Amino acid sequence: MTDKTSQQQQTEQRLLAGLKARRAKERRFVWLGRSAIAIALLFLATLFISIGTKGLPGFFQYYVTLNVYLDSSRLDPLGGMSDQSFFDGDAKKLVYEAIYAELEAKGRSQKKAARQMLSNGSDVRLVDLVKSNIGLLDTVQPVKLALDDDADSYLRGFISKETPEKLRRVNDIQIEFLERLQAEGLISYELSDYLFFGSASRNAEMAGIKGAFFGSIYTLFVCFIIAFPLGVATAIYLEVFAPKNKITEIIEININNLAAVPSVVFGILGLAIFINIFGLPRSIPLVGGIVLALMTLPTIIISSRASIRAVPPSIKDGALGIGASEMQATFHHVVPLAIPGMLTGAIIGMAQALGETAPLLMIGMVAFIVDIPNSVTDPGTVLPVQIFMWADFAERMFIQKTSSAIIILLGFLIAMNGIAIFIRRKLERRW
Amino acid sequence: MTDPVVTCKNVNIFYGDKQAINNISIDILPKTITAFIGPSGCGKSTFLRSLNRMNDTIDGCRMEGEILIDNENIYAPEIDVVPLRARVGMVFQKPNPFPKSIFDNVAYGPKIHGLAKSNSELQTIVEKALKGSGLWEEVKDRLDQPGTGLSGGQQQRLCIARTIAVQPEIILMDEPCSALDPIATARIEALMTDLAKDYTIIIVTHSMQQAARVSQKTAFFHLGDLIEYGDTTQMFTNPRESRTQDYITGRFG
Repeated sequence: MTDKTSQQQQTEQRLLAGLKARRAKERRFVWLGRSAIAIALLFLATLFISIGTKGLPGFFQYYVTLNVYLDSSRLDPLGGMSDQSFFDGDAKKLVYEAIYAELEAKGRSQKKAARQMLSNGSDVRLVDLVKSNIGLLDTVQPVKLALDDDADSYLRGFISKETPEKLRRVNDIQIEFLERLQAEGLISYELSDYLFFGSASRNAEMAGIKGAFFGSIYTLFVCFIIAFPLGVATAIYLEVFAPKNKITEIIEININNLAAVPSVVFGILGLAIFINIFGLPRSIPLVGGIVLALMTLPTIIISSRASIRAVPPSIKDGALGIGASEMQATFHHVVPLAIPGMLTGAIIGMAQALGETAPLLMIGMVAFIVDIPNSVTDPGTVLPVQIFMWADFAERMFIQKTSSAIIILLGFLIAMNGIAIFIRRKLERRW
Repeated sequence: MTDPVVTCKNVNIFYGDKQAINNISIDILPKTITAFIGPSGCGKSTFLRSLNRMNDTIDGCRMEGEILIDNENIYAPEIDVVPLRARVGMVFQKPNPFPKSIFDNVAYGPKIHGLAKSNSELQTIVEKALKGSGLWEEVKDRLDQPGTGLSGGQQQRLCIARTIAVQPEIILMDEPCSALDPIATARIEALMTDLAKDYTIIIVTHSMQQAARVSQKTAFFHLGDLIEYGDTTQMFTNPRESRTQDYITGRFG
């Protein structure tokens, strides 16, 4: 046996006595961490399942295929296929006649029921078809037309036959018609082209995100073009060149505080300055982008400064030691190493900007705009605002559309981050 | 007696309110190796860094007195630090090659100072600098590979090549071997003796043996004071000051 002094034995006993409690504490902490992650994952899964189950059906909708006689004298009364001519024409009537014929609808109530099952945009679809192929004029063609959102909701099973007729938005005649059409195999459930290529509409079956999608692209483009260079330049100046005095300190404190300002305040600022003082038009992505840039700036500045500070000073010393000027040392050696970190800040900032609604409401990007914006100065809206508006509508079908738009927004976000991460990987260098 | 290349007169250096260097006057001779020795925190690195104004980059660092290089006060307001640092190069404690290719590491100085008129001239400069630092034979086939991929000793020689590529008069070395193994250290020491033919070298070191091996002159610092300055052989065999004696024999420090 080894000879231990009583002192050593006592120390060992005390150490072993405490050891069990120490290990138990460690195990408890590990389990606490695991359960925290499990809860977070549970919430995430709930979110994805809920959006997925509601949103995925929103990507599809019901169409009916009708044989329509494309009468040239009624579609294009003036001839020459001009917009005016189609406007004067009577495409709607042709569609209605097709469905009356199909359902053998007689009398006012039957006819009304039949035509109300069709989407309001059916005539536009007919005109588009003829425009794309003049050869179809004066022939009978099977044309696929969207069903009205109420009929759509019935087919999805959201409207029950058991409900008294007065209380439901689809009447008994329509139900009978829909069942007949289904029996004849004329109704199809397909990927919704309106969702992807349509624009804002009060008719749920015609509402789409294309306008908001382009609005988001333009807005974020303006935001990035302004916020990234400005933010990075500010960070470099503050971190490298600014004298360390009271004024710099005040500026730094204010930038940090700015990051915590509620976004709606930036909207009010944008409204007051860019629209009221500078007289820029409302609802345009340019103003939206500038407002979001103001909101994103603090995030980019703070993370850029952190990444500049993370570059080992020895690299800069090396450059200074052979006579590089402060600016050369900074731009040749520090900034290239800090760029990945700066991009990370930009990703976080842009992701925030992409999901921002409140400041854009203030500058009028919530307006109901059917046209798809073609430039940063065309009125438009953005995806989160579109989601906000759809969530506000009463029609049943907008619930799915809202979830679908959320999925698209998330997809947009992932794609944007993916590109940024790819660029960051490319620029990353080891030191 | 040759004229000194660096003359320091009554140099005081402060970090904020704390004085790091107390009234030091010293003359450094050209084309010799001068070693600064002393215990940690004695101010030798601070003093070294004041010779090419690297202390300017430290906030709150203030300097009083005069440092003349070739009879020119380097702290005069009209002096630009860029040509000064090109003339007085610096090698640091930890090898700090740029995260670029070996060639770009050495070519960086000549490029920013516009020393090469053509690409072939630049290549000549790089080759000469790498030969000067004894690295050429080891890296000539992989000049396009990253400098950070070299071994520690090679990295430090790369940093020396980077410094001599701009043809400085004086090379300051701040504990250049403290992160290296004995073999790499021996190579650097041989290189320093070689370089001393063309350059004035001032080295800060913690190793008494290193100072004894490579330097002709030694200065002993303690608590911000210059205790003793003289020929290395005399310092190590017969120091005038008892504190020097105590330090080099390992009785304190």
